[in-house]
This record gives sequence, C-alpha cells and structure tokens, in this order.
Amino acid sequence: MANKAKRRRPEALNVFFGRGILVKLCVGILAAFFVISIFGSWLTPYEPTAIDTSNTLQGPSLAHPFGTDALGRDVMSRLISGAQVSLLTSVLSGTLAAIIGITIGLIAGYFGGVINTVIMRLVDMVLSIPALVFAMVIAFILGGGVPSIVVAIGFTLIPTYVRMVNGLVAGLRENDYIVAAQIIGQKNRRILFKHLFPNCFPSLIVLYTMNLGTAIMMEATLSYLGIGIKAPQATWGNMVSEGYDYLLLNPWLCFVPGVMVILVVIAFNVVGDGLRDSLDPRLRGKL
Amino acid sequence: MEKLLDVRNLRTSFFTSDGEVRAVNDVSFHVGAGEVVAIVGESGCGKSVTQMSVVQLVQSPPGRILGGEVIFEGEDLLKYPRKSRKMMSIRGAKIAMIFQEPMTSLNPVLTVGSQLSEVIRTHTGARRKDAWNSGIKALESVGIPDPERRMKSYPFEMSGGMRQRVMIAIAAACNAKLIIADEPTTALDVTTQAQVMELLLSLVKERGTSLIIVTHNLGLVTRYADRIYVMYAGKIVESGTTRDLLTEPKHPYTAGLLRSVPRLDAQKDVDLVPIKGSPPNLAELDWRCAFLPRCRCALEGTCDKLKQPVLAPAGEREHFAACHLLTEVSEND
Amino acid sequence: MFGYFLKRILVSLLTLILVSIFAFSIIHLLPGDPVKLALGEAATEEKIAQTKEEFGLDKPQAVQYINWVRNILKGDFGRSILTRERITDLLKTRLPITLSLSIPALFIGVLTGVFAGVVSAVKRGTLLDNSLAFFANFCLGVPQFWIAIMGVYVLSRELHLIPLQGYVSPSESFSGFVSHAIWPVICISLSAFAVLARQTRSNVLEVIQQDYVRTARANGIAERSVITKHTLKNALIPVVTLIGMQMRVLVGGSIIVESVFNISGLGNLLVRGINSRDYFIVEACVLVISIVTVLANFMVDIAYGFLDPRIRKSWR
Repeated sequence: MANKAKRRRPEALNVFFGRGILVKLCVGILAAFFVISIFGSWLTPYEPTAIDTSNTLQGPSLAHPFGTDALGRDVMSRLISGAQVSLLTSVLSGTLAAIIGITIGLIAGYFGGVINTVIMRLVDMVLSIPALVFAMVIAFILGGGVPSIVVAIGFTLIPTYVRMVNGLVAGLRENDYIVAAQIIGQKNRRILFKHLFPNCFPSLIVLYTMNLGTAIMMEATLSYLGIGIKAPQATWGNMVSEGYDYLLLNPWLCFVPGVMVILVVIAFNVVGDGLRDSLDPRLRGKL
Repeated sequence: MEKLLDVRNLRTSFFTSDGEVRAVNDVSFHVGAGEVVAIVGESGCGKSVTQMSVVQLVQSPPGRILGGEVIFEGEDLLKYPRKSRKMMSIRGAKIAMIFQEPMTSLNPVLTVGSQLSEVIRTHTGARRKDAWNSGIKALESVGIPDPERRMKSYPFEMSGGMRQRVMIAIAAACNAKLIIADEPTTALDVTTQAQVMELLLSLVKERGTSLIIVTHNLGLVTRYADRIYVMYAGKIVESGTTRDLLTEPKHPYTAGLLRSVPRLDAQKDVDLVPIKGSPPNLAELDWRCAFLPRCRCALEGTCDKLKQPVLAPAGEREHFAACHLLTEVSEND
Repeated sequence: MFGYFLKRILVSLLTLILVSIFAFSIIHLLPGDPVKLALGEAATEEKIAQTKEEFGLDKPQAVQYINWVRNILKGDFGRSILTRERITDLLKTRLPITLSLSIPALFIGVLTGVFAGVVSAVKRGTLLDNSLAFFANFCLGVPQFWIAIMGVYVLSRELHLIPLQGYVSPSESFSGFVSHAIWPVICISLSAFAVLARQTRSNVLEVIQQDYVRTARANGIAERSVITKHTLKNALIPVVTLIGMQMRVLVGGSIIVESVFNISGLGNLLVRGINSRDYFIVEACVLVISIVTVLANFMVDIAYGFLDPRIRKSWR
C-alpha cells in the first residue's frame, strides 16, 4: 500500500483560520458587513430617505463621504440601509430554504422509492426554470416587499439543500449503524435527526454560507429589475438602477453599491470555499 | 548473479503540513537478472513509495527523492530528471509496473487496445496497425481468450483478473527487463490470485525477466520469491533468502510477521500471535529503534538507550538484520 | 444506450409537463381577482366578466389548462390581457433575440472556461493559476447588471468602442450585431466561464491523481498524451453535464443584460409582463424559457451518453 502523507487530522477550524490572508480578509469583510448592518441605524449620518434638493448628485465630500444621489439623499446612509436589507433577506431566505430543503431532503433520501422519485422530479422541475425567473415569478405572485422577496429567494434555494441532503442520506442509509438502528427498532424520526442529520452538518454549513452570497446577489438583481424591494427603501440593487440614469453625470452612484455587492458576495464565496476545504474536503469541486 | 537493479541508500520524504514524513529512509536493495524478490511489510511502511521512487513517479509535491542511487543496467537513474527522455524510455519499456487495483489502474474511457497499443507505439515506434497486432499477440500471450474482440473492449467490461492480465500484457508487450508488481493480487479472489502469479512467474522463467513483488502477504512471498526484504517504518529491517528468513528470522518484526500468519507446515499446537500495536507515524519517529514500542524481545537498558540499529550480517548467504539484539547483545556476551 | 435514451426522453417530458402546470398556475396562485388587478380599479363588473369569458377564465381550471396546452401545441400562446397582442408573435420576434445572445455566450463561456480550467490545473500553484482563480471568483461575485453598466461607461463613454445601448439583428447587419452584442454576450458568459473553469480545474486535478494516470506515466507515455488523452477525456465528460445546467444560468443572465441594454428580448418581455401584470405573457415566457433549458439539458444528456463508453455500450 502506498503510504504517502500519513496525516493526523488536525482541528478543522484551525486549518480554516490558519489559511491564507484572503480568507482572513474575507472574514473581516463579513464581520464588518454584519456589524454595520446590525448597528446601522445608529451609524447612518442622515436619514437614508431624506431628500435634500439643494445638494443633488454631489461627489464625495466630508459631509457626504460617498456623495449624494439625484434627490440629494446621502449615499453612505443609503448604502448602510441597503446592507441591512441584504443581510435581512439573505439570512431569512437562506434559513427558510435550509429548514424546508433539509427536511424534504432527509425524507427523500431516507425513505427512497416513490417519495424520492416524486420529490426529485419536482426538484428537476424547479431547476429547469432559471433561478432568476423562478424568483421573479414567486415575487410577482406574492406582490413584492421584503417578506415576498425572502420567500421568493428561499424557494429558489430549496433545491440546493434537497439535492445535497438527499445525496448524502442515500449514501449514509446503507451504512451498518443506520441498519443497526432500524433493527433495534428506533423510530424513523429519531434515526433521521439523531443519526443522519449530524452527518450532513459540515456540508450543510458550507452550503448555507455559499447560499447567503447567492441570496444577496439574487436580491440585488431582483431589486435592480424593479421586482424586489421597491423605492424609497434603499437596496444595493435599486441604487445601481437609479444611478444608471445618471451614469454619465455621476458614475459614482452606480459604482459604489455594486462594489458592496461584489465584496460581500465574494467574501461569502471565499469563506464558503475555505470552510469546505477544512470541514469537508470531499466536497471540493462539487459546490 | 549480475545485479539488474541496485538501489543504494535511497531516501524519499513527503513534506506535509505535519512536517517531513520519511517514507523511504536509507533503503538499499538489489535485484538480479531473472530473480524474484519480495518487499514485505505492513501498510504504510514505505514499500510502495520505494518502488515509485525507483521510476521517479513519487507524487511531487509533496514527495521528493532526497538522495541515494538507483543503478539500473549500470546507470544511475536518479541522475536523469523525472520527465527526461531517458526516464520515459525506461518506464514501461525496461521497467514495467503492475498495480494493486485492476479496477482503477486502467483508463475507464479508453479501450484496452488503445491503451495497450499506445504503450507499444511509444516504445517501439511501431505503426498504429502493427502496434495493434502486437497488442493482440500480447493479450494472447497472457491467456486472454478472443483477443481481437478484447482489444476493443473497455475495462469495465472485464473482470478484475482479466484486467490484471491486461496490465501484465502491457508489461510483457515491450519485453521489460524488470516488472515491479505492487500488491498485484490483493484485490483479486484466491483462485485468480494464483493464476495471475503463475502468469508473472512464467514471464520470469521464459524471458528471464526480473520481478519485484511488493506485498503484505507473506504466504504469497514464501511460494514465489527467491529473496525477501522486510521493511518497517521506511527502513529495511531484514533481508535474506526466502528459506533463511522463514526458518531463521533474526529480526523480532520478521519473527512476529511469521507468527501472525497461519502456516500449513507448522506444528499443530502453535498459536497465531499478532504483533501488538500499529505501525508508527513516519512523521514522528524518534532516534531510537522504530520497532521498540511493539517489540516483544526488547531489552530494557539496551534497546531504549541506543540509536536506530543498522543492518548487520545475521547469517550466511547475504542474510542481514537491523536489530540491537543481534549486534550489541552478542558483542557483550 | 437505448434505455438511457428513453429514460432521458421520459424525464424531459415529465419535467416539461410539471413546468407547464407551474406556469399555468401562476395566474391562479395570485391572491385576489387577477383580472380586476390587471384592468385596474376603474374596471366595471361587466367589463371584468366579459374579459374573463374572453380568456376562458370562467371555466374550471382543469379545462383551462387542457385548452391552454392544446392551443400551445398548435402554436397559439393566446393574447395579452392588456393589449390583445398575439403572444405567439411577440415570442417569435423576441426568442431569437434572446437566443442570439445566450447561445454565443454559452459557447464563449464554455470554451474559455474549460480552457482556463485545464491551464489552471496543469499550471497548478503558479501565478497564472492563482490569477485565474481570482478572476473566476470575481466573475461569480460580480452582479451582471453592474458589470454591464460599468462596461457601458468605460467602453462606450470613455473609449467609444461600442454603442451605448440597443440591438441589431445579425440578419440585418452582422457587424452591427457584433458591435452591439459583444459586451452583453461577454457579461452573460461570465458566470458560465467561472463555473466551468472551477469545475474543470478540480476535475482535472482529481483525474490526475487517479491510478490509471499513474499507470500511463509508469508505462512511459509522453506527458502530452497523459494530459490530453488519459486525463482530459475523463475530466471533461462530467463537465459536459454542467453545460446543460449553464443554459439556465445564461438565460437568467440574458434577462438582466437585456434590461440594462434595453434589448427587447424574451427577458425584457417577462419583466414587462410582470410589471404590467400581464399574466398570460408571464406564463408564456416562463414556459418558453423552461422549454429552452429542458431542451438544452436533454441534448447535453444525449451527448453525454455518446461520450461515456459506460453508457454507450450498455443497454440499460
């Protein structure tokens, strides 16, 4: 037998935080994003929706670090307000999708057979509709606003959890200790949540992290298209959309909110990658 | 006997996040023309890495050959870079390798014929058609029925034994001087095991090919090998003719291996005794004898005070062992 | 192979039926009276009842669904509830526009992505590999509408390389099409590029570790053949399945880009339908978009069946 590196398994988290500067930087970005979103109401120097017609389309200055928009609203305050919306919608939709998706996935994987086939065909159906179109339609049905966006994005993320959990459980189900649990008469629900769910946990954390980034991107896109959260509530997406009208006068207005989306989404992806490599290396290339 | 392959003081390490893993630590062995030599040891003792080092196929990074000489047909192969033309012309043509897993050792999306004939074309420069025909002959020579059809088969359409025959056919096709078989029969069932070994031995007999069998299966070795090297924790701890080693093992590890294998020629009431513990972590070896924690014969005050033992003559006919009981103790007596 | 083929056809058909049910349900899932909402508060009861009758909304849902599907199979997607335009005509003009953006984007994204992935894997750990990984990460993290707008600013406003907005069909003027479409197509292809580059890289790296690649090396096969013949074929066959999934992402990207550049494609029609509550247009768009992605997936599955000898040579 080849005996290459006979490695002890080091603490997964040690590996994670021992990683490169990029991961550390991204953890920092996310920390800042969370802090600013949560304490944003105390940080905004101006009301994000306060109109000041004497100060429109200004460039960066001491009074307005990111300038003002076409209605004289302070861009920095609106960015912070947008961060709150992004965090709220992404965490809520990610959690909603996780709860529903994991439950469905556990059921599909554990019971198999007809139940599995029906569920997976429905997942295929959802996956054959572009995620953006699916979210647009759900948001349309529910009528816009934060709650409907949360549900719309949440629904598009559900299949990712179903597929992952179903795959993992289908593999685990054949394991001897599950069979043993069944033989000694443990209840299905207990086997599902006591034995199968914990085994999926590392992969799920990774998926959850990455889905937060996906949700933020989706929310920004929907808002940009005018289907998500409507004005005057500031979101990063509709700030770009509003700024597009003044692109030639003040490109800054488009530029800054987009950079926010990029920073946060990339940070979630990089942290997700890092978590995957340290928690569950088998997933490499699958997520 | 003339030495076909003479490996001297070979050292190969893997540089991992846990530090340097000395997988091959100052290993010397040799193989004569037409000789069958076995390298025996537990999983993870470095026996496969030793062989991969001979043809410079250790994965790098993290692996690196640090030193030593691999003299094959009078030339030190380590002088040539791993991707050099010389090494390319050695691998597959002069030194062929057969691996443990016949399921995964052949490319699943290429036909047997294309894999076999590519090797022939690479080393003989034959034309496509000729190479294909040589391939058919090679398959025939390893006893594969209906070779014309089998050339067009994919590996997944064949059984494990059949695939291992294909591997041997590839090795035989270019008339390799040396075949290194790394656990060639481990993944096969018992009847197929014997067939595959007989096939390998017939190559040795008919063509004078030399054979290195890398295995943890002592039973296999006792029947087929001329000489045995026992490896432990990256070092050779005992070497000698099969007969000497089996009848008079000088190293406690060899003795332990023999006691842990059921033998047909043993007296009735000899119990099987497993070697306690497990092989050491090669990244954490200290300066003492690597076998010390598991040794049944270790002498307090001697073995735990002394540095790692070195190979020393342990009998006639090139019998060597690396054990303090052999050197220190006998000197003191 | 035949069994595989049959199974793929059945799965695709089943998916299409489910999608059509979903698309059809949109109008019925809306809270409140959809016709009243669409016509506005000013509409009289009479007018609403008349409109319902005109569109068959007074019939039982199952009958409505069957009629809808039957008409679609005949090539009639019905009419817009607001403007009475024939939806089939709208789709006929707009689907080719969307396809003329997403299909080139698919090719560009796949080819560049696979190429970058292979290069990354072969040159693993080098500056080139790291830069490509960084760029792929950027492509996944950048909002398409934003990069499209920034491109407009830099490429048209500052450099005057491309027109600001709009679309010219290739049949009208090919060079006009290229100059208008090149930046939108690139924007659409970014995510496909990133996904394929990452996946290809990791597949190649996984295959390079396989025993059969070691066998090829141990047999003295030249490094070039080890990569192209023994590694890539194995690594790229699974990548093929991803291409089908990419069509879905590309159509999504096309919707965004159409909105930025004011291109009247299918995505623009869908956004318009949603904003004006024109249900039948929304339903038709969802259905057509899904048919496109299901078809793309189906073709990819068939290609996969031919490429993988394990499927090609089996009858299951």
